Amino acid sequence: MRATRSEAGPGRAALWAEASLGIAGLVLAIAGMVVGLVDPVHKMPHGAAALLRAALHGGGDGLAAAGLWLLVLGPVAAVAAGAAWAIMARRPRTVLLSLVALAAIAVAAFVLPTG
Amino acid sequence: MRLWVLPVALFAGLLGGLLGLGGGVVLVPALSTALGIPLPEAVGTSLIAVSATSISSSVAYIRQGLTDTELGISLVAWTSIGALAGGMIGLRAGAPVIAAVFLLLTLYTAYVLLQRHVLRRQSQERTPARPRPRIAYPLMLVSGALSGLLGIGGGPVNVPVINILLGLPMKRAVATSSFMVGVTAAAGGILYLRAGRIDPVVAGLAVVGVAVGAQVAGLIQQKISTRILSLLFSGVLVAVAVQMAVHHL
Repeated sequence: MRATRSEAGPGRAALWAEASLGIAGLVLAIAGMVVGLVDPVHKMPHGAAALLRAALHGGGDGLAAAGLWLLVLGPVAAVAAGAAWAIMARRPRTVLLSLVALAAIAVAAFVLPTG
Repeated sequence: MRLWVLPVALFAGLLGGLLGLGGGVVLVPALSTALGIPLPEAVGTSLIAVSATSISSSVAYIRQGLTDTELGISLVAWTSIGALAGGMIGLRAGAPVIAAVFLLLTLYTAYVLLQRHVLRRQSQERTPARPRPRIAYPLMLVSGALSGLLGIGGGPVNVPVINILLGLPMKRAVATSSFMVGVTAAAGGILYLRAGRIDPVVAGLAVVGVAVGAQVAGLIQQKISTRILSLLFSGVLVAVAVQMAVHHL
C-alpha cells in the first residue's frame, strides 16, 4: 500500500531543489554579467577545473562561470530530489531511470572528451 | 554588441515559455545570424539559457499542479543520453551540420503540428486512445540528441510525444516538457561549458533575457488556448526555417 505522500509525486521536492540552485546560479550569473560588461576579459575557460579556477579568481567571467555551473546543476538537483523521493516511495523503476539520468550527466561533466 | 543579446533573449524566452520549447528554437538562429556568434557557441549559449527557462517556467507549472514530475524524471534518462550524443556530434561536426539538421527539424515539426492541431479545426482537445511508451522512449533519445546538437530544449519532440504517445493533455504535456528540457539542456550545456565554447557574460545576458521572458509567459499561459499555442509554435518554426535557409545553406 502506498503512503498518501507518495501519491503526490516528487514535484515539491524537485521544485525546491531546482529553484534554490537555479536562483543562486542566476544571481551569480547576473553579477558576473554586470562585472564582465564593465570590465570585459573575454575568457572562455576550458574544462571543469579551469572553470572552477576562474570562479575562484572572481572577476566578471569567473563569477558568471560559477553562476552558470550552479544554474545547470539546478535541474540536475531536481532529478536527484526525484530519485530520493522515488526511493522513499518505493518506485524502483523511477529510481533506476533517475539514476541513469544522473549518471549520464556525470559522464558529460567528467568523462567525455570535448576536444 | 554583447548587450543586443538581452532583447533577443527576452523575446526567445517569452515564446519558449508559452510553447514549452525553452526558447532555443528562436535563440540559436538569432544569436548566430543576427549577432554573428559562431553557431556552435550559439548552441552552447542557448543550452544554458534553456536551462534557465526550464527552471523559471517549471517552478510555475509545478506550483499550478500541471507537471507530471515523475514521468518527466523517468523520461530524462533517455533525453540525457541523447543529449550527450548530440552534443558530441555538434562539437565535432560544426555549423553546416547543425544548420542542415535545424532546417529539417523546424519544417517537419511545423508541418505536423499544423496538420494535427490547426487545420483539423478541433473544437475540443483530443485524448489519445492508449499510451504507447515503447515508441515514446526511443523518440526521447532523439529529442535529447537534437537538444545537444541544436541547442534546443527538445520541446518540438517532447510535447507531441508526451501528448500523443503517452496520453497527457496538451497543457500538462507542455508543463512536463518544460521540466524535462532543463535537465536535457543541462547535460548538453555541461559539455559545451567544458569545451570552452561558451562566453560566460554572453550566456549570462541570454539567461537574464530568457528568464524574464519565461516568467511573463508563465503568467499569461493559462489564458491562451491550445489551438493558438500550436499556431504560434508552427509560425515560429516556419520563420526560423526561412531564416536558417537564407543565412547558412
